[in-house]
Amino acid sequence: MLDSHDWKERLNSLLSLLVEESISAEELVELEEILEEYPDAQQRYLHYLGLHVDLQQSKSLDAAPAGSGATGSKVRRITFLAGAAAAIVLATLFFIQPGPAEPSSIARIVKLSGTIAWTGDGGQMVDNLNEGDLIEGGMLETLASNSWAEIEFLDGSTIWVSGAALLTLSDGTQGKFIHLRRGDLSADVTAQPPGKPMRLVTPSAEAEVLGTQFNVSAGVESTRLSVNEGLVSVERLADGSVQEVPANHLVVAALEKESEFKAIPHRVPGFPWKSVNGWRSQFPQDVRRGDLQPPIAQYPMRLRAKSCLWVDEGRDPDLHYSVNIGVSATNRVPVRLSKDARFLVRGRMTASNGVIFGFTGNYPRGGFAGKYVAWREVDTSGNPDGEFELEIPVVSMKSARNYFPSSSLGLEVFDCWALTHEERAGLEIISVELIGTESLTGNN
Amino acid sequence: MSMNPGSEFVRLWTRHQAEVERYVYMMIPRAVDAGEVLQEVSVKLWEKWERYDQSRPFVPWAIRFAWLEVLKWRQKQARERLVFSSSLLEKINAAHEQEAPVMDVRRKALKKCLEKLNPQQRKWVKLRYGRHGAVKQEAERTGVRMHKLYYALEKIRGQLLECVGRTMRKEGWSDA
Repeated sequence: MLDSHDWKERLNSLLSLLVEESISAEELVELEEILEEYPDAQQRYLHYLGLHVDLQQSKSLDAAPAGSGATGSKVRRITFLAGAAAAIVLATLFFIQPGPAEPSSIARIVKLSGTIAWTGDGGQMVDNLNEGDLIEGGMLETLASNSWAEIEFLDGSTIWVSGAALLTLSDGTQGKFIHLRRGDLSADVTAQPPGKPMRLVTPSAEAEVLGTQFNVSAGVESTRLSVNEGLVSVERLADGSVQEVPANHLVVAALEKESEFKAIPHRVPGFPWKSVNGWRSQFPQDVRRGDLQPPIAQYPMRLRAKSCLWVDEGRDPDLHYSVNIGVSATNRVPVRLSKDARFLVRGRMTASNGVIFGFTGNYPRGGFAGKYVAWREVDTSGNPDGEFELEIPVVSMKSARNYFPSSSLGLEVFDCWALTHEERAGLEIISVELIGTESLTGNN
Repeated sequence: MSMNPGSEFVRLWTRHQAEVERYVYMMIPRAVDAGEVLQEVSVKLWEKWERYDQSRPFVPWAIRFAWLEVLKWRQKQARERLVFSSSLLEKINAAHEQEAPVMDVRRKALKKCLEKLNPQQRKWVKLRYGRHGAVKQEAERTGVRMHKLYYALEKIRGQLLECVGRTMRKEGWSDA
């Protein structure tokens, strides 16, 4: 048995490894032993993890990057203090921060849907944002897959956030700053003042943008940034390496540095605006949501629907069972819709049920355009395996809101999903194909 | 209070989701897994919403279901090495019940303690928690070894914990 001082010291080290997600299996066993043996250690564990979460959720820490002049009352002047010898190394990294500034509006909510929470830099939470509202710097959280928001900075630069996402926005003397912790974002950035690029930070990458159109998907493990126009400089945080990503190129920055980090064209060579001639899902690569099922005798890998709750202000929550499959979101070549395009959805169900199939469309040059859906009654009663196949012409899919473009022709398919409202339906998707696409040349 | 039960659920869940997330993370300290379980919790709460007594506080009710989802997740992960044993989860959950009433007090104390950090420490906290990956970036830019910086962060967290405890004791919280 360790004495009190020893186990506390060791516990601190192990908890630090735990919250940094770098603890080994052996160290976790050691942590378990300490927690099992010492009741005080359990209390310390809760305090430590609670502190970690509180720091993560602390709005005041995230107002802006060090050295930025973001608005917000939490930014305060910090004076340099020469400290102990151990602090000298860290002190070289320290920046003098700007003084407090009065909060002022930096952007306007153009459109929004779904449950969206906004927390200003001052810590005030607003959960009833409306179109037209002006916002200061702060944190925006879209809480459900069916949420989206269009936000316009005062200089006309616009961002679209779609699905569940968490991001922080600021605009100050050092320029615009977006910290996308998770989710999908499209941006159309007007020319930024010299020396003040828009900075975009995700868990695995940092980008500097002078004026361009791009889409970005930020996950816990990696960030995919696709540039439609202009040039974006992207730094992979794992090793500090930088890639210049020109128009019609994309880059994937992972948290580990073993994977490829290179800007690659995302159009088919020789056919700059031609979509791939058909697309077919590949599991596990394209899985964005759902439980992947291992292959069995007659079936390859399938994606089983998972329960999901959509919360939308002013409406009853919508409980359903869904899968989400990346199209352009997980592929190098964008998939654009042509006049005769149609989806072919293959799957299985354990009971007949209604299936809603939908996709998210982005404008080819950047920006969220809309969501389009179709409903089909699937009757599996004559099929003992419950297998079904749906052919859904894109033209038959309706826009989910009346302010989305009524036609999805020419849009880039970002992702698609299928859902049922009954668990007993046991929905599994075997594959999704987009077929019958035509060449789209020249007309971006 | 809204007359529409669905709207009331949305209101309460939006307001208290972070607190439930905090609890789930304490039981499952891996962000990706905790996020998955949190989604399951929201589904379960909505399924059981009709049984919720609105005269009672929402968070303890939600956490009871979160605990069941944690156990379910634990069962699924039985062969995974990087998860706590069921018996330890039981103990942590019991300890959490004791701690829950003072979580908010701790949060407020932390706010004061953050203000007491020296500039270097505050910068590192800000880099670590304000921008994921920024610590590593700074380390590489300045040539300081990562383990030294994470050690510094470990010390800062320890210092903050001590400060929170002291602040609470000063305010009369004996178990801090």
